[in-house]
Amino acid sequence: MDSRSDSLAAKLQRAGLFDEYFAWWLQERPSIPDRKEWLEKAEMPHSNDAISNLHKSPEAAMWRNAAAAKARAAMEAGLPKNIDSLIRKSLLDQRFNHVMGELSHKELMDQFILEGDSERLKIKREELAVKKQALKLSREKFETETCKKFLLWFKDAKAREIADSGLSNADKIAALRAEYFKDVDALEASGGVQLPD
Amino acid sequence: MSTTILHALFNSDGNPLNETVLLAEVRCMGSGGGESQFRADLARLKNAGMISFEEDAITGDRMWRIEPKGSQRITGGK
Repeated sequence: MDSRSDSLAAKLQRAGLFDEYFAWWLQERPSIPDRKEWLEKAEMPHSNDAISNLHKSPEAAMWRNAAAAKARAAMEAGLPKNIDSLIRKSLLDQRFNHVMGELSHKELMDQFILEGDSERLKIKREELAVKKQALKLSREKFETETCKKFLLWFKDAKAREIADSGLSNADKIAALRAEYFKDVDALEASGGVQLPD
Repeated sequence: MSTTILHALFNSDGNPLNETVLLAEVRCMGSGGGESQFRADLARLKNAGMISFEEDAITGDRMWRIEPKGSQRITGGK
């Protein structure tokens, strides 16, 4: 079973870079940005998901098996000829499983770390989305309040009279403030309220 | 998980895998599911004659391999 012909695994195999990539991965245990950089240099830019799929691919499994088979063959070549067949078989199976186990363990650790990073990134994205939504709601509230105030002002003949007057802008603002906050000013004058300086 | 177990054993090209390595390999290949499901699937595949195990002469580990029926399931008989 092979991956799709447009998969990263298939592309690396066609370019003759599959073994080189995995040998580099095994030696360096690079981060995802480093892997992306490696692939970009090989003129194969790919997403994080594509890289993750590459490591779960049937081709990656075959690569682990080939590495284990190579280690088994190397051991077989060095074993004495007169060794008991059951012991020979056990030793060779252990060697194969030892290498397979080591490679799959490294792969699993990698996947575990990368999924953890991906989960943290997802949480950060969700937090940002919540903040963005809160900002949007706050802006909408502000706009609604402004429109309400405009309608109130528009209905108020005294306010329109001030706005249409020949006063300067600063004087218009002062006059409008005096009109809208006259109750507060009256309270302050009576000593019933202390406004902050 | 059963299909991934068959694939993992098929990939090993006749080399038997012990249970710990087989489980790690199945997980590497992206299969979810816990150990209990893994063991249940092993039993089911064994009962169906697709895989078998023998105990290692020295370590006593269960060493799993794929049977022709299991290989046929992967290759579609080709």
